[in-house]
Amino acid sequence: MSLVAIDQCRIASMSVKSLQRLMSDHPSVQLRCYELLSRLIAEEQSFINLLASANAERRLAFLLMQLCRHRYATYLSGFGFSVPMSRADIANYLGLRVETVSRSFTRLENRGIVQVCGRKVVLADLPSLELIAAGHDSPMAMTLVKDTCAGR
Amino acid sequence: MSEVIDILDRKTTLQYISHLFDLPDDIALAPYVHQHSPIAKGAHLYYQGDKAGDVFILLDGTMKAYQVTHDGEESIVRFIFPGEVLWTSGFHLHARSTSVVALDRSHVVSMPDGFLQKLMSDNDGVQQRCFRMLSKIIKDEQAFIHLLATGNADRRVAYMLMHIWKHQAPSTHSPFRINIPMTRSDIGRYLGLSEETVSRVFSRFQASGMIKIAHPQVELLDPHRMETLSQGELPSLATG
Repeated sequence: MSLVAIDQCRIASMSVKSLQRLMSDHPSVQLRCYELLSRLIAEEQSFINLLASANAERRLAFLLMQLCRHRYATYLSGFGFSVPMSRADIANYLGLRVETVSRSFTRLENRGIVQVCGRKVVLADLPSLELIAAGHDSPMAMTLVKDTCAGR
Repeated sequence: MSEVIDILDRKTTLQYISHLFDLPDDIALAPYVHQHSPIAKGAHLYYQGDKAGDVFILLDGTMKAYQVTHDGEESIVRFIFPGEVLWTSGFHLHARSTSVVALDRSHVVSMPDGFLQKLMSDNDGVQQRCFRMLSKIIKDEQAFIHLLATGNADRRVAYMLMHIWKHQAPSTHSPFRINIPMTRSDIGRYLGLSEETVSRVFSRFQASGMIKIAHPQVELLDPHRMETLSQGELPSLATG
């Protein structure tokens, strides 16, 4: 595959030989590498499940949680960050059409779960987002949406 | 289901494991390799959440690894074919992330994860072999993710057929006959398609002369075309 930076990145590298050397000399390094690869496999497996079964909103919630988890050590409701990838990249990654991605952002925003302004996203209701990402949609939020619609 | 079973005595098994992990000749494997009694179709090897201390190797048969989601739905993570390894998740995650069930009569052996780690530390060849196997899983998963994100139903089913074929071809006498141990609904769940869509694609492949269906087997009449389709290089067969 090819790798391209989508925002400014810092990179360190080491030769495969040196890493293998390190692993041979230090069993703890080997164990750590094994663990990292296993975790990568497990994460890919969750993503496979997501693509095989989940609706657009859940896919997007999953991505937002993943971004948050990878980029920032801590996060809580009200936390805002800039999504580094374009809508088209998100659509490509999640197996959705660009319009569906935009619609899902809007739906999450209407439910008060995120606030979106361009590429900036504020996680207004982290617990609900986490539930949606895990495929366990909050019945409360659904009810609220229904009530709002009924009230209009 | 296969002729391999009967010749898998203890000595052959140990040689096989030794070959699989690229072990030096002087390693005494016998005390560490546990040969399990055959696992019947539908029986579990382990459940999600079980303590994970052993690495399993499938010698014969087919197994299915799945997770149960929050709403009680079963989602299939992968199918396991002979020669494939069920790794643990490393030392800091002591529970199995999936449940594994036999789709037909299966033979497995296991060895303690700590023993394999020790073999890896002591032998550069073993370490490289193991990391290569893990990298291969990651690469295959990435290809599968790409398939799910972009591939239509025809391509998904073609990919699945070729995937099974590549695993079975080396050990069978009729090279173009695929034995399909999983149900249509399993295939659908794995590929993110409905059961009806899977059946429809099978019929379409048969109508276009690419396969001949003979439950539970499928004969590949045009493997080259199927391979091309699975790589996404042909337009879909779907016409409506």
